[in-house]
Amino acid sequence: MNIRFKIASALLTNIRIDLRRPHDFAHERVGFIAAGLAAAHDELLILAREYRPVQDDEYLRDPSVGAMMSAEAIRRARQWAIDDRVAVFHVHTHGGRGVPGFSGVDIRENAKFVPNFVSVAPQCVHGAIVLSDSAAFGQVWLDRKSSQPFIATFSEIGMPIRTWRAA
Amino acid sequence: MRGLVVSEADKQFTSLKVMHPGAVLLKEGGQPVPLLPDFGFIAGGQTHKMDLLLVPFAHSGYVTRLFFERKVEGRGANWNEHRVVERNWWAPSWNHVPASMPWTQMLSAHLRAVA
Amino acid sequence: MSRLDRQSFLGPNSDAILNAATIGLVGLGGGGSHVGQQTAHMGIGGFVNVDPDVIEDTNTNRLIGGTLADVAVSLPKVTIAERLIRGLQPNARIFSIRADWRDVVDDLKLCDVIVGAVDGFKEREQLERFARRHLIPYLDIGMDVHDLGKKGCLVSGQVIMSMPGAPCMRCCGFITDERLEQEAKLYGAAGSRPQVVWSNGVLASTAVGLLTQILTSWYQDPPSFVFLDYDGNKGTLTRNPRMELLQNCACPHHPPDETGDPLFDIRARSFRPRAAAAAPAVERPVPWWRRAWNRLTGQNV
Repeated sequence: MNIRFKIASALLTNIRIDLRRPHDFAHERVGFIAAGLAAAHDELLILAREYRPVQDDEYLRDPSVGAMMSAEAIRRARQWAIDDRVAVFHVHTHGGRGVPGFSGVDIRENAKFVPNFVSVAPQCVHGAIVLSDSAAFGQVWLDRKSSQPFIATFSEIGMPIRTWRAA
Repeated sequence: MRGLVVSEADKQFTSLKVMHPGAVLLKEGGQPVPLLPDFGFIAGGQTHKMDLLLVPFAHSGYVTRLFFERKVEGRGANWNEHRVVERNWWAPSWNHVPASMPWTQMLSAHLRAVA
Repeated sequence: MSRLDRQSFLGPNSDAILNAATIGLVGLGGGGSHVGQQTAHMGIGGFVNVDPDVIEDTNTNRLIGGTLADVAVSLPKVTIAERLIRGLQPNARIFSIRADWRDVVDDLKLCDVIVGAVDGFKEREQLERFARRHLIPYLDIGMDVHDLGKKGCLVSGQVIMSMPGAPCMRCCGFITDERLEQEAKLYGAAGSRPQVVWSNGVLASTAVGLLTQILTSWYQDPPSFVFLDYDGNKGTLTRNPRMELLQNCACPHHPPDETGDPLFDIRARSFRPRAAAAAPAVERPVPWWRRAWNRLTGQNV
């Protein structure tokens, strides 16, 4: 299976703007992207719809990490997946340019909370995405048991279209 | 305490669900489109069972529309293929079922096209 | 040195970008055949060509690449398009599908851009909605000849670029319920509408120009919504006033929360590679006597 993530340029720009806002104590901001899904032959298409930031009061003080979401933030995002039957992707940015990668902390934390989304909304895939200022990288949970494939291709749909291979 | 606002579409869908518990409310162009999986109906004296999609607003030049999973052979006229809510459907030429009708009655009115 | 050197102004890596792109051509008649030809010239590398029809005698006034010999054997329009494309892009990734576009949605879902050169507002509306659900830019072209009675004829047409999130063909009033009603009353019997090669050429060329703006960065600050009116009598292609009015407007007809398949269930999906595109068909020449006999008897094979 190849996984392709598509997002409108305007939405991606808004996400980057939002994630760059300073927070009182968190070093990073985080949010969630909802997406529709489609399939064609051996390709899974993840089609971004909407972004919701984690609210200011949903961050926990934890100086050991860039940002720590509260349980309420995760609960709200899980409810979003249930109510709207959407694929949900956690998103944050590392800045810089080029295709980014998950940090050790990202990998550890993603593995903790993303499976919860799969449990409550198993008809969809869910996952996590990290942005740079020019590209993105992401991982997908298809279910609770299988390995988590990486998103092979990202396409930013605008004028012009920008496509990059991430994995 | 926030009051619960039930839209007209929700009310109509609730009635439809009483008729067909498997009904699912989808959306296209921001408008509600009820899907009726495995709906049983009589056409030409025979029982048929297939997915139906009711479009209770103007669509493809018709006042309202009922789409069928497949053509009902020998019934209805001018069957054409459409793509609605990410699926292919068939519909005969059968117009002037008003959007003001309750959805349950609208469904019955459209099924007369193949009766 | 590359045969595309003269278009290097399209930007760094433009050759690779165009080669990597896959476009869906829905309708390979008068308009679509032009688009197929031009996109092959400019180096597009992937094509999903969809048209259920074969070439007929009355298509030869405008179907680019079609010959009288093709008419004699009722060659599918998609085969003509593939032959033309391969003459310029021998290694192109081409899926030639003689079918209704609804039957090949899995191939179209993987296109970077879809170009619609179809007949009818219903077809256009449903094709555009399909493109929007999959975040695929859609380019629409079409022409008409209007009988003005004693005043003669008016040749007209349009080029519309419909980008996800930006205004659509309903936003700009090109597709309306009234037009769909009028069309439905004809029960699909649109008849043999007048069509000419030069108008199709203008519209197709303009669409291909927009295609390069979608795929490459050569044009600074391109508009995200384009609606051009063609007046074939005056020889003009002008911006429809709604093009300016609607810039920066969001489209209410294709809400952003309607991407994808609303009933998608990963647990019920299997993922299998598509069967590889068939190798280019080796055409057998039709003997002269067969072509002559077909023309004499009015037969299509």
